[in-house]
Amino acid sequence: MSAAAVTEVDDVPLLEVRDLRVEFHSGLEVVHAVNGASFRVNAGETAAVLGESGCGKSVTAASIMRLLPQPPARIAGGSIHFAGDDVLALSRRAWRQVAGRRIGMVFQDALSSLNPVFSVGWQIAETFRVHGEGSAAERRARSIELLERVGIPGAADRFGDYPHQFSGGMRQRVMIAMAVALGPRLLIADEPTTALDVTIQAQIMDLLASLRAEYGMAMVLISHDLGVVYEVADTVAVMYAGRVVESGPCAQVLRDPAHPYTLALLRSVPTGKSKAEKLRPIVGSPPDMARLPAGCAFHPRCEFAREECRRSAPPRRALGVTRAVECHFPLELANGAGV
Amino acid sequence: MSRASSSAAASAEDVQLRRRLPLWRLLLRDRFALAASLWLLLLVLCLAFGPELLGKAATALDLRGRNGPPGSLEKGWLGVLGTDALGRSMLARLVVASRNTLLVAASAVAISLLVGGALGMLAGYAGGRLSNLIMRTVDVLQSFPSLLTAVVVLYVLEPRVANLVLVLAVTRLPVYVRVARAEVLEIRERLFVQASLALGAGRGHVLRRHIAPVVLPTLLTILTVEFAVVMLAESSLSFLGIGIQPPEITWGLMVAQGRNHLSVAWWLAFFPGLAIMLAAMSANVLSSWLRTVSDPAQRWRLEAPRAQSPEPQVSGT
Repeated sequence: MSAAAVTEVDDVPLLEVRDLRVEFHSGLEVVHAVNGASFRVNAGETAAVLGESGCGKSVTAASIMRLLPQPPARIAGGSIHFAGDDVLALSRRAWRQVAGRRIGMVFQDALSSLNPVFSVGWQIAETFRVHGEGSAAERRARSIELLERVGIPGAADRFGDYPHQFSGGMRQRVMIAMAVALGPRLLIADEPTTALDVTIQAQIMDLLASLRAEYGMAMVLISHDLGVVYEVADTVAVMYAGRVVESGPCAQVLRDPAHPYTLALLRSVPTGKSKAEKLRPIVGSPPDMARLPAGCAFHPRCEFAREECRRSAPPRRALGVTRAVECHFPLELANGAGV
Repeated sequence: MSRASSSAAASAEDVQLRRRLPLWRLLLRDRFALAASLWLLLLVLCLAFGPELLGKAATALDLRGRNGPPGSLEKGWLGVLGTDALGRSMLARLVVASRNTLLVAASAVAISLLVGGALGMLAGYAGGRLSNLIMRTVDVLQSFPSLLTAVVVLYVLEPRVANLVLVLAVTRLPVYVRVARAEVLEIRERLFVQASLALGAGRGHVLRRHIAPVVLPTLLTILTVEFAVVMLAESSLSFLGIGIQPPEITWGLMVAQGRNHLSVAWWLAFFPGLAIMLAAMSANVLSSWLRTVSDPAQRWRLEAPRAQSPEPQVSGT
């Protein structure tokens, strides 16, 4: 963890998502995208939300930013607290003071996150404009400064360029500049590197890490990339079928998983140690979120499933102070860490 | 891979260098757009000064020189486009009529664009009951033949110019409302709208600053097409006697009056018709040019050197 300004007492986290439930009503079906997800992020730390496509990661992120279109989405239960404020209960006006100013967000696809008809500089300055900061000249100067900070060469010259004149990595840098413009305390990064190729991914993650240290921001990193998560996250929440099935310090969880799903995820990553290595994918496919299986949602794909897993949903078990798992039969922890 | 990226970088550089070309120099490079804007400029001059300069000539009767054919200079340069059934100079009448014609059409389409565009965007963005209310009202408007609406309204009210403009604007409203709504429905789902909301922008701000600028080029394109439609609608109303009242004249009215003499004097209807067509076409060409210029991703098409192929890859290597 960096030397971030941790002003809060440890038991009041910066962001706390508690038992969040989100439903999408489409036709006759109700899709349960998030089914009671809980996790917390302390000031200054990086929390990763890890999971396959369709497990509710992005919906969770959108709920935190109040970006869900309602209807069809509906927040059916739970709460989201940011720095003590109930995000879901804030008035629109009050929320506008939080969004952008205290929480920034970076999206997956930087090209479509930028408006094609405005110059990049205009859009960065827009952040200041929306929040009524500075004169036009000041906004311009600060925007150029930001462009330089996120590593865009010739920032002053490129101020007037349009999004299509930038490469994918550069666009993501611009998005990051917009998100951190007002020095937020929390940055939500929804798969920030998924649309980029590997070398650029590393650069963007480095940039995010250095900005995080510089501004003392906390970060929620939504990702399905174990490698990225392992490198940058302090804590990790593994999501499956709309629930956080395992959470805890990143290194502990990923080295020594307690939930069979986490283990399966780790096993499905190629190690590159031998040429003959076979990939070990997780058998089956993620459940239909409109018709979740009874009991533990993972049981149809779980190699350790027993009768009880089919019958009842597993409770949340604490494994020591920092780790928790939702499984009837959690895996033995090798070194007993945290227990 | 690397060559492709370097050529892309080179063309991006070219674009960056040429982006500072002033608008008028870009206009000079496009012959059609240039011709269109010159023609529109001429029309604006006619509109501004025509009635004062040629007002007398346009009403001077010459019963001996009725239906004079065009192409002769016997009656001076005013007779070059022929004379009408009362021996009045066609050229002078065309010039004088430009003011009524263009002002009525321009203000009608402008009102339609502003009101229709605003309502459509609101319906698309707000959704729900407000959207239903707006769209059903538009359905009602559209289920009436627009000419019939115009006739009824103008018959009840007096056929004044202001009423005419209003009726034309309202009857053409549905096109703008529908198109604006459809565009907004698509654009509001785009990620940059979400990104703007995530930055703390209010809904009104997003609609004005992020959605409207994307919708506007489409609406402007419709506007230029509608320009011609409105000019013709005005002529039908004038023909029915509830539009512009003689002795005021418009091109539409001239076409309508000229129709009676079509077999003996084709130029009575042909020249005003040509004027309508050219005005509409010029507006079209110019709007398509403006749309290209104002679209940052399209502008290179105009900026690329004319001698070379317009493909960016070719100009880059």
